[in-house]
Amino acid sequence: MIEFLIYLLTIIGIWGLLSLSLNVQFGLAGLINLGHIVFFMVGGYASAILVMFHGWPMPLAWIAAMAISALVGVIMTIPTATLRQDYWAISSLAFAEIIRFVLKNTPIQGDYIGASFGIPDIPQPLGDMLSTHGFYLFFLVLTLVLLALTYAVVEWITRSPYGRVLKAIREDDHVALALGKNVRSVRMRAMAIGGAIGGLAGAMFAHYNAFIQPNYFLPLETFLIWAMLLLGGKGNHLGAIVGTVVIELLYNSTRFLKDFIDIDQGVLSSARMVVIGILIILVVLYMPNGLVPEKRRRYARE
Amino acid sequence: MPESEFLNVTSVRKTFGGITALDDVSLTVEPGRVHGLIGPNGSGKTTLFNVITGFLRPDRGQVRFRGQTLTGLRPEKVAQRGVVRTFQSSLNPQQMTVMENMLLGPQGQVGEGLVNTVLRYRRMREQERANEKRAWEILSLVKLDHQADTYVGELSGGQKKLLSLGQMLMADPQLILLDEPVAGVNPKLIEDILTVIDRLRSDGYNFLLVEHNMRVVRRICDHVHVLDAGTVLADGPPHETLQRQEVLEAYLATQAGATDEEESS
Amino acid sequence: MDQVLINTLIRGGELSLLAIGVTMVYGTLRFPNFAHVEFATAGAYITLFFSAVFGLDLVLAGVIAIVLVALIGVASDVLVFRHLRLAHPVMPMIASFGLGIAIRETVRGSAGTSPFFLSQTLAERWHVFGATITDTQVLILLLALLAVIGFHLLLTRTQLGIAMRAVSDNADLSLASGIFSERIIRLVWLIGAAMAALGGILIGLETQLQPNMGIGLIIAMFAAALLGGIGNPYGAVLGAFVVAFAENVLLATNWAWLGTLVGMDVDYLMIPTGYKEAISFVVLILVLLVRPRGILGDPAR
Repeated sequence: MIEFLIYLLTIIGIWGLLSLSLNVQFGLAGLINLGHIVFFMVGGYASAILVMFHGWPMPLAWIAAMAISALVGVIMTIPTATLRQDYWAISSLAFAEIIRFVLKNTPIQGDYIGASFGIPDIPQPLGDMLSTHGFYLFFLVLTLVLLALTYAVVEWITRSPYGRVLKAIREDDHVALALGKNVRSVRMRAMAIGGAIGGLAGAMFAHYNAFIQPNYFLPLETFLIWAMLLLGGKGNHLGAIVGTVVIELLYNSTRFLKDFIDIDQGVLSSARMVVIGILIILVVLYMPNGLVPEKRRRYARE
Repeated sequence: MPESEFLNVTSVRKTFGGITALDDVSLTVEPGRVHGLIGPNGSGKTTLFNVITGFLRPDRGQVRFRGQTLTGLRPEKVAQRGVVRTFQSSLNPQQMTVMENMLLGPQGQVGEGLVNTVLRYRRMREQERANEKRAWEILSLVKLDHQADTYVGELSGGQKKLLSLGQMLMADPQLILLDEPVAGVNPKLIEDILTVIDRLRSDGYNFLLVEHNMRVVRRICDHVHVLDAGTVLADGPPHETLQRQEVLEAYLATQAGATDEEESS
Repeated sequence: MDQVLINTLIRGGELSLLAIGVTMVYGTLRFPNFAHVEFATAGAYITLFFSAVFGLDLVLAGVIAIVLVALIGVASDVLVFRHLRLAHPVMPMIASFGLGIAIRETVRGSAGTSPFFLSQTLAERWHVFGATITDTQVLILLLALLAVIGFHLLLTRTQLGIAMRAVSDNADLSLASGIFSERIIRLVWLIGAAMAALGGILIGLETQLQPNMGIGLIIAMFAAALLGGIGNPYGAVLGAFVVAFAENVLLATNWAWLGTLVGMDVDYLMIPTGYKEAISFVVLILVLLVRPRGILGDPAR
């Protein structure tokens, strides 16, 4: 039971990073990124490959993963200036799928590493030195620390003048342009920041789970992060975390139910997905601002 | 047409598909005066604004401002040169408060560069404090000081226009382009807006505005340019220009209902 | 080459049935419906259900399935999307994702993950101009053709159809909601879902049924719709055939000549069959980068 809780909290931590990342890109910058999982995927693969096949030390590999994901984010912005919001959304979905497709068809080493086999046996940080239980505890602490740091960073960004310009271009570019803001650069930076955070989450997951494969990064995963963000409250970092907790609890609930209800695992798993699908529809219809609405910054002295 | 050192629009031409929105349009704007750009619906006024401020590129012609060429510059660069503008329908972000909108205005904010929020933290704080102070002053001028924490989406049409005006001022502009500053505003607020513009003119701000409301034009503009079907029809002080035959005909031809109402009241 | 032609026709026909519905909803309501492919999945599985469980004739089961899915399509609008007409553009997109998941997982939970086959009899093969075609494939081609022609007649000869065309081409008209345009929108959903269901049945006949059959079609379907021009059903058909042609031709071509240009010494250089999916991705991205309004699309878009 304890192991499960530790696992659950770690997963909430890692996915919390993903929600924060999407919140920067959508909640703050207004970009409908339907291919968000690409950062998670690229970060994971980059770090695993650097550590396992190029001998990089893990911390450096994680930083490199963040940098590469940030670059991916910037690349995605390049057609933004010309594309309409919904077209960009579709292109982001296609972009993520193309990268996944390439990874799925590219062997990395030998016959059984890379391509659709994924990367197995990814080293875990301090894995040799700690017991299994010790490792999971250590990783949980690491995750929570990194999550707290990231949270602080995104809050800082949100409250800065940069964050103000981000919010201004959320709905429409015109006013910001008319006031002399370089909207394109602002947007690119938001994508880079979001990308870096997503890449960190990916690297963390790869070295936690010790295994990644292309099917972990389907469009469905992006959708789940969107569910977390919309349920929790977009534009609002606390909301992002709250949403992550709720969805992860729901998603992992079947592990409990298995012990109480005697239904086939497959059916149970499908049922929980149906519930999540319907839940999202309900959130969109009845709670579009989420559980935790964006707080307004008050300036009035009186 | 005498060359102006201030704003100079020369022979601008803009077509969209088969339609010629602007055809050989030239005008000059002198500092210290409120210029009005008027004409029937569809005459190309907003298009001209878009060309001047870089939101559209003309097919031919030039826009020069204080010795620098504006044509071909991206809109944010035009704004950085001191030419700011409002939009016909208030495009201010609905989900931000009045004060946040005001703080968006000033240029050269160190805190807008990401890394600088840390490296130049103190400067950023200084600027924020100074901008906030200035914002309160301007908000009281445009009578929105009690609405500082209100979301833009909750303001009335007239209040949104006042906010846009206030925002422009925060940007410390050289030339302010107002696109229909009183359209859809209730009459009481119109007077407030005009008072503000008057006051600003005497403070040394320069305006070019697009307006349909003839009473407003007569009241506030020192000089009008009449645009019709993409060409400049007439140019001069409002009282005499608005009497001219060709101007009256242009308006009658397109049956601008608003004009008739104003004329008869 | 003739086998390529036949494969293109079949794939193009199937994609057309899907692309027409999605492009019309997209043109009318301004959002990509990610659940559209699941109408196809549902159509196939409901047909399987009625035919395998109730022993109904395949044709009858298919008709029932199409009707039911058409109703599901209308229900989606009435229950979900109608309330999102004025919402932020991302809302109907995410809601459609949710709907897609709900439909797909209901299918998966009920029928399981193992594949099923709709047509049990060994199909008779015909030989046409040196290519092989089974009678199932002939049936697919005929049905797809009939559906598209029928739709064309609807669009051009009936009042409702003409209204549909007007509303689909002009999102602003349809969003300025009135009882009339609401009714037309519902019709768009009805027919779009019905055609998707037929498409799903045909795909199921041609290959097999499995719960993820819809997902594999999303990119190709949107590539076709965007290539043809969003909101234009004829564009959707055109786009579908171009995509199908690209997929089949590019895979069948010997690219050795390109190889020698870059210094490779080979007799055969073929694109691996695993890369078939990649072709529709590339089409989609190219359309969005080069000409987002598509071939027959409205320049305003």
